[in-house]
Amino acid sequence: MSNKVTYAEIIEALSRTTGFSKQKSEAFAKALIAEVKAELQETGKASITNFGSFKVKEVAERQGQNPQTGEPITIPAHKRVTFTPYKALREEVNAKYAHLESELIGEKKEKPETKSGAASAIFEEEKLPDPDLETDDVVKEEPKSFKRKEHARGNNTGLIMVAVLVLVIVGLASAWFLLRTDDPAQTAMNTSSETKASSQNETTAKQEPVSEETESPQNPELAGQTSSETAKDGNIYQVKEDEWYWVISRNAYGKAHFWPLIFEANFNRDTHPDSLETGTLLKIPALSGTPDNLTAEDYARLASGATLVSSAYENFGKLDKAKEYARYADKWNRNSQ
Amino acid sequence: MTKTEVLKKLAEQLDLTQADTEKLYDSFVDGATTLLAMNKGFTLPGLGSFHSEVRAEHRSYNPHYKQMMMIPPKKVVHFNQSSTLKAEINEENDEQ
Repeated sequence: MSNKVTYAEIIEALSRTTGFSKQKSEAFAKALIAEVKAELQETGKASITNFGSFKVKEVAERQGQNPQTGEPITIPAHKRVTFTPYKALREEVNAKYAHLESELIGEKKEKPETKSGAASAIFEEEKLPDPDLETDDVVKEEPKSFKRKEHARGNNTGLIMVAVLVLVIVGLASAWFLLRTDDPAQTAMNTSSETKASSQNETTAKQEPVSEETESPQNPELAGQTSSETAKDGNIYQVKEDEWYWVISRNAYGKAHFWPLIFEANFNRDTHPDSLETGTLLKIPALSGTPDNLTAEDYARLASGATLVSSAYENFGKLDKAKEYARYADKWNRNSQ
Repeated sequence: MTKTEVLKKLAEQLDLTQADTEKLYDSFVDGATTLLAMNKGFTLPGLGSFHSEVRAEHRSYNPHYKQMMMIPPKKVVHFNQSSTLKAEINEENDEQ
């Protein structure tokens, strides 16, 4: 084979680099090999420092077949020498590929098709409506009250308590705004509050969802009857085989760890976050900033998404993951302020 | 057996100083490593042959995440025992 180096060439190279005669170099190589062999015979183990170790392994008797005739034969139990490269050699050889990392590509488990009745109702309806017809007036009122319910159920930890408190405040504020829009006489005042809300926009993240609501044209009747949670500027995405939230989030935002946003826009805490069925239609909520430059509103949504994921994990008994996402929520919450 | 022990023994056998033996040893290992990194295989008579191969990208189940993962390509060293070594090892087996 062309990509093989002969023993003579190795000896020559060795004598060239060290300055010893070829004879001496060959004597050395022979002695080293003999040493390794002797040690293998004696102890069943041998090593060449910085290169690798050899080990004698027992191979059990097994059935094989003659590759020429296909005739079954019994391969008797025997020993063979295996080689394990050491780290230095492994890394040197693999240098070209060292930067690559393995990545999650999806889920083999069956996804439980939404357990709670409310969730499945929303789930089915969300596939039906034409996103153009429902448009933005459908707004976020529905998902918000929905979210609040979820959080109220899982208020075991202090973190979730805080989140619930925030959501209650937001809910009350939005209810107040809705009442105002109901009254036609108040329309003028509403526009003024709109501008006020958008000025608050930059300062307070907690008020964020409220201002978003008032900015879009309100239609309380529509918002009341429909349970579709079409997100603002949201795209619908169909899950392909073996895809997972991470992958979808990376495709959508360029950041895999934004996936709680997608989870929050589509599911509740009764859905296992580690399950996703092929063909599911997912809404991909749009960011108000860019993925590299998030606004306070985005951070607030990420935080509430992570809180939801955390409580969903908790719901399914995955406490370590729940803690991890609670930490994320905490971090994003701090960023949103 | 440690490297120092091996060096001591080899130095005695070859009638060299230990420092010289170490120089030979290190450049031998270094040369072998470089060859493998350069995709060149080689054979050590009586021991076996070494070559490196690219293990292709493949899917594998990660029991920690309980999910399938895409394992990136990796270059690994392969060793094939020589027939003489095989015979010697198994001969010893029969004697016992």
